[in-house]
Amino acid sequence: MASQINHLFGHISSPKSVEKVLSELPMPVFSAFADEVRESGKGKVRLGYQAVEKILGEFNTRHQGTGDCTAMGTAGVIDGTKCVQILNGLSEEFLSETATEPIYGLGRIEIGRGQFGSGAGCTGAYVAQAVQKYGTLRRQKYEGLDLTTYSARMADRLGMTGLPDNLEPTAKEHPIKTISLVENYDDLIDLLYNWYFVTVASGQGFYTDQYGRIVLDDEGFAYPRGSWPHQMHFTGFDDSYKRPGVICQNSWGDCCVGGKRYKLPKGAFFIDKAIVNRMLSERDSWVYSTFIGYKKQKIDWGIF
Amino acid sequence: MKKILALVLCLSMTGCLIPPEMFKPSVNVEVTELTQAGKDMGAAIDAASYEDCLVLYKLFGGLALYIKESKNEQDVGQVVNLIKKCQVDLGYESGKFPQINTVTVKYIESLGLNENINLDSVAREKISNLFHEFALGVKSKAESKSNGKPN
Repeated sequence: MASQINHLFGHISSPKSVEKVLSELPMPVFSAFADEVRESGKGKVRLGYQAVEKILGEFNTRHQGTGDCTAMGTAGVIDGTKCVQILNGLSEEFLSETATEPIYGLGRIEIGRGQFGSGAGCTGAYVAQAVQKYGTLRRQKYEGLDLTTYSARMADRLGMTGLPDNLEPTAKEHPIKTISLVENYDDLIDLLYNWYFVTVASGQGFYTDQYGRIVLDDEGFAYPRGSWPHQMHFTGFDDSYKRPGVICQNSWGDCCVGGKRYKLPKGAFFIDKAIVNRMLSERDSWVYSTFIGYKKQKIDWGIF
Repeated sequence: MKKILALVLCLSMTGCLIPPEMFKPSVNVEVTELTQAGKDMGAAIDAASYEDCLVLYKLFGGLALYIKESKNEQDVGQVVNLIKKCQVDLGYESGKFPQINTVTVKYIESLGLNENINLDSVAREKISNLFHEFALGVKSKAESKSNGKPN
């Protein structure tokens, strides 16, 4: 494993925390509530990242600087959800991308109660519950907290202190309504086909070169190798191809080299079905549904 | 002949010295005559005193200059907040002349600035130009009320 990427791994495997979160959810495991969409993705293709490209012009590949990968994957899913909702004609607007630092802080402190101490990282379950219970902030200046641009230092700080209390009411205006655990490839592609996005947290690693870049084969698939305690997110799939696979979006900037199929965003690559099943079986990958977004605000100019 | 040559040489040298971006057409055309927006604003403050007009002139004129250049405000909502602060600083009593709001809302809506959109250079320019026109309308009204008071 290239040393350049070691500090970016921040997924903590904690089955206990997953069970705790599941016990508090009305729809804990997706497969039990999948009837309406079951088998809808079978044999199909969905390039869900194109929804983001359509709204933003270019996919907003993130570039993490510390072990906050759980927040990165979560924010990616929320941004994808925002874009799909806008394309579906909801009266919303994409004002700026979802800020990752508050998600990290909320997951570790407000939900995780500081149980991970001074080390980096969080569980997929805790950050998922964080955005459901406490909501989200976006990239802008808030009172006492400038989230305009990503800061790894800010992520580390909020990861130790949590979100400042004065900002919790603002964050709560923009939560994710539903989170559910996703456990297998078949459920996953049904979700992706219906324009949902899914976080993926596991210990599965992939082959990287000496510079820490993920090396892809001729068909754009990453080679499974080693162990990465890492969270990313799924943005599409191709189940029609001779080699079924899912599109995984990483948060290390333009981090892939090698072959490519489709015009995937920077930092995205295919993972084989069997490997995806193995990753999901670790039971910390989540689908997020319905973001309470940003209504277009009318400005009252009757101020004179 | 020597004079013509010297002139041509001088012009060509000056041309070389001036960076090409200086030849871009000016976007801000000085408004010398009252536009309809200016006239409407003047009518809206018909009942205002000369002193009120001075305050409003400072408000609109200052905002027109500031909004064009400032990079601090990122969206239209922040401009509105800025205006409220300026009103307090200038001691302006909000609501004193309700017709100002009617005129402002009418023109702001026609420019599509009644939603909280990002404040890009185009939006800045639109607000700045409108407030400049308002300021000239107020100035004109003030002049009609001056009765020999200093400008």
